[in-house]
Amino acid sequence: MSQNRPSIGQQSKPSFARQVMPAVALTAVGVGFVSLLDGSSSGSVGLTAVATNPVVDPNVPTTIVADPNTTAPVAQPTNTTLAPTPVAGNSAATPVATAAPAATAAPVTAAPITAAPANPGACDGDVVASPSAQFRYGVIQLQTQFTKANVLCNVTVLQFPNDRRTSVQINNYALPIYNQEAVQNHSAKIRAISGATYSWQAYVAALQAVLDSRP
Amino acid sequence: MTVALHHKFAAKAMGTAVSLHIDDICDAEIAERAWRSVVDLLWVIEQKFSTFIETSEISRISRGELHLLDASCEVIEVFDACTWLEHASNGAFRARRPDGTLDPAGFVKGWATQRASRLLTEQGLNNWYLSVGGDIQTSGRQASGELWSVGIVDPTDDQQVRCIVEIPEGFAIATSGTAERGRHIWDGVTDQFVSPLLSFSVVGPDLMWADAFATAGFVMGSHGASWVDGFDQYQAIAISAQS
Repeated sequence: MSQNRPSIGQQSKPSFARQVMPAVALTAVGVGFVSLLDGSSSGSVGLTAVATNPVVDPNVPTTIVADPNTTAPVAQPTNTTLAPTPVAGNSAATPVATAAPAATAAPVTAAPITAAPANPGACDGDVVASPSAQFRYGVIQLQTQFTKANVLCNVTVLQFPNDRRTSVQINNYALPIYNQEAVQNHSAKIRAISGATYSWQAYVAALQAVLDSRP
Repeated sequence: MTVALHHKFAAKAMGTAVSLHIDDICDAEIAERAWRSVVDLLWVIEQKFSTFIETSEISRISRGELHLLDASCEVIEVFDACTWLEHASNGAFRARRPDGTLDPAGFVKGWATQRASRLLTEQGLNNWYLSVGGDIQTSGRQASGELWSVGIVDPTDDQQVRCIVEIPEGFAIATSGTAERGRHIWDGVTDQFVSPLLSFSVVGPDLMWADAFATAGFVMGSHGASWVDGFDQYQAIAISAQS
């Protein structure tokens, strides 16, 4: 007899709507879609600011004020040297997965950053994190890396602010892959990992396991 | 009696990895009890909702043995929310496979995690995060006073972290991507699995909505982020392929 009932999918439930609407109240769709860092002009803003000052101490907060009108030819080489740098210990998943829970030193951060042979073309120089850059649509933190010859070779978005009211879209091509060295340098900041579920079958769950085992 | 500042737990549940980090100064037994209540609840929910469990209500409904309206109130609540989401997303979110089989998995994980996290609050815990397969509900802050920092996986290389997001107090984050759990994301409008995006994360106050918005927003593709912006306090971080 229950088969005679209409599908619930066609019923409206005002009680539920009342329940959820306060939480997810629709605001005006006037908020424009923000394609942050999608173009070379925006992507180059942070690059320029940091590239002109390659000896920035990551510990010293420098505010990088982005000028949307800035054109930065120095940003162009970035796209041609975006290949992920093969860094020693790139297969972090292995040590991570086998890490004993009692290990006090998390393998991700414990791996030594070995000094590669001097090669002016290799992206193996200083890694500089911008503490917070004032961006057109908010505050953003970038990480930059230089070759030994102080040529900018890698830029990564590290952090999005919380006070944003709009979303961001990252062009995966415009911004290079986060290399292993960068992960080593910054994983201390990460407390949890979010990813599509399939990722959890591999490295991500292992990295989360390291976070779980950290003191 | 052991009082500690950090309490960390991990287990497998709902077919994925579950982690709980508590940064409250509390007795280890209290933390342990809270963790056990979370695992127990997730187990109960899995028995009700898993399509892989023959005796689950979802399986019985799919086989026609149980009508939806005769199901438990949790199942009705989930499908109620799914129905609302289908409308709100213009069909991008769907709780049915293309062949018509019920599969609310895109909603249940976040919903279950949020219900489990309520248990933590009810037990007096203030500073923690609960992660179920990368969908994370947070509360308060880290012991250091900093906000919880969550790394988003690089969609093109799951051995890399793409960026770090600081989660506002009490907020949640969920991420969707291609091939998620055997392609359980499909476009309800076109019945295809195509999206120009590689990964779509949503940060917001409630995990069940953040998770659902991530699922729908990913399917919407380039419209997803602006759609999410229409919901107060929710925002997306979309990672797109080369355009």
